[in-house]
Amino acid sequence: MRVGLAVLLSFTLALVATGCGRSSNIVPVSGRVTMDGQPLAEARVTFQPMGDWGNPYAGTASYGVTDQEGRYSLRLVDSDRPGAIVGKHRVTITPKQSAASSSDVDYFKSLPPNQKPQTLEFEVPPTGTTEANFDLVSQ
Amino acid sequence: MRRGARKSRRGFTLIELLVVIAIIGLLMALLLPAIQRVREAANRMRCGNNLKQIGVALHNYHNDYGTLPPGGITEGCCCGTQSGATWTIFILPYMEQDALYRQYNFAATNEHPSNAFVRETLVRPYYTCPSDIETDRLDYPESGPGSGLLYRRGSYRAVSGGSDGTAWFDDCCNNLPRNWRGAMHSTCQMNNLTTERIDDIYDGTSNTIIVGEYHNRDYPRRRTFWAYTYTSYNQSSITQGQARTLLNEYRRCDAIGGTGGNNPCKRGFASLHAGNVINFLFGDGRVLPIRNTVDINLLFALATIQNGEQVNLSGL
Repeated sequence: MRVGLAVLLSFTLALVATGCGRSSNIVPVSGRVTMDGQPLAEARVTFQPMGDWGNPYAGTASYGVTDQEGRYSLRLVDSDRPGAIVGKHRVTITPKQSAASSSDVDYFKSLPPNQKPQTLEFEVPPTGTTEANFDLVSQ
Repeated sequence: MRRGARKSRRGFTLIELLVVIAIIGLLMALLLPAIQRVREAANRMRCGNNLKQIGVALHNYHNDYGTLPPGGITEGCCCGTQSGATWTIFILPYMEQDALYRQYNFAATNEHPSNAFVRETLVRPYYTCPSDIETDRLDYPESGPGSGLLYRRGSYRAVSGGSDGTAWFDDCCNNLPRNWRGAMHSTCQMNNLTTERIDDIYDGTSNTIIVGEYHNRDYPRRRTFWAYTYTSYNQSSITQGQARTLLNEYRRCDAIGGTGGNNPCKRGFASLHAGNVINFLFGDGRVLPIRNTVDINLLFALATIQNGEQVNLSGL
């Protein structure tokens, strides 16, 4: 009887354990954003993995917010786990906007040049990086 | 003597019973999620069927009027302006809802008291997705001239077009490139944005999404209200580079942030389906579930009717 119970227990454990072995291509990514050489604080950084029509499901996007030194580290948009998916990304950096109105209108028709969002590209290496740095020029 | 006889009779020991119960419990635990999955798959299918029905109605409408209905008619530029009717109201006669259509007072605004009956009517099954929660509720939308009025929830939104997060085609006075517009967007007399014909979809009807689902888990007043014309309650956009707009949690989308703040979140597409798939209706009447891990910049290509992108849907 005791042997049977042990078998049953190990079987159950095996079932539970198989559910947790998912390998992932999510690696830690962090960096620094500057504009005209100065750290860009409170900017939103969005990493969108780039797909193509052969592989449109490029994976979960990542986001980060820069601190006073312009430093950020990415987290996944859906699960909020740290990291980003390996591969090519389209990066959007949105500086903090000074006058955000609460209405539904587009509040940045007349934004100053250093507050306009900018789009770039970045390749996340398989080992992750702490050097995902961007130096923007105000436009 | 009798006691002894009973004792010697064969029976189950306590441990045997416990093992049997454990096994049954284990099997149930394995089975229950499977049943839930099947239920959800059935709901998702019904949800897609509603979209199919909406597609047939849109094509019949196009047959009669030579154009698709407007996403919404507004009295002026955003914001706070009152509105006329919206696409879901225009196609009511083609959804076996002729009686309801006749109740709508087209001479008055959407927010006028004479239109309260239509605003508060639940159009089941066609305008509600069975996977959504509390779709039968009445609620006050979060913003606009109807924010103090009760509207009935819905599940489906017209694709008003593409966006970069700075402006929207549900506002007829936006300054976005014209060829980013979608098949059903807002129209008004302030500019020359008009309703679209099938012929206007240069990108091809089979490469263009025209209606999709939006529902969120956590913010009832920002869900879909089928008869509320104002901006972002039954029209949404695909915003470049902003995958957060495909999440089914409004507050989370807002917290992640990005270009446009929470405005892109108001105009997302999302569902509660397993696997985070979102059903979309294409211009040719096809319904395709698309997962929210799609590169949103590809989805952007599907939302625009005249942006001229090369599209191949075989991977979706």
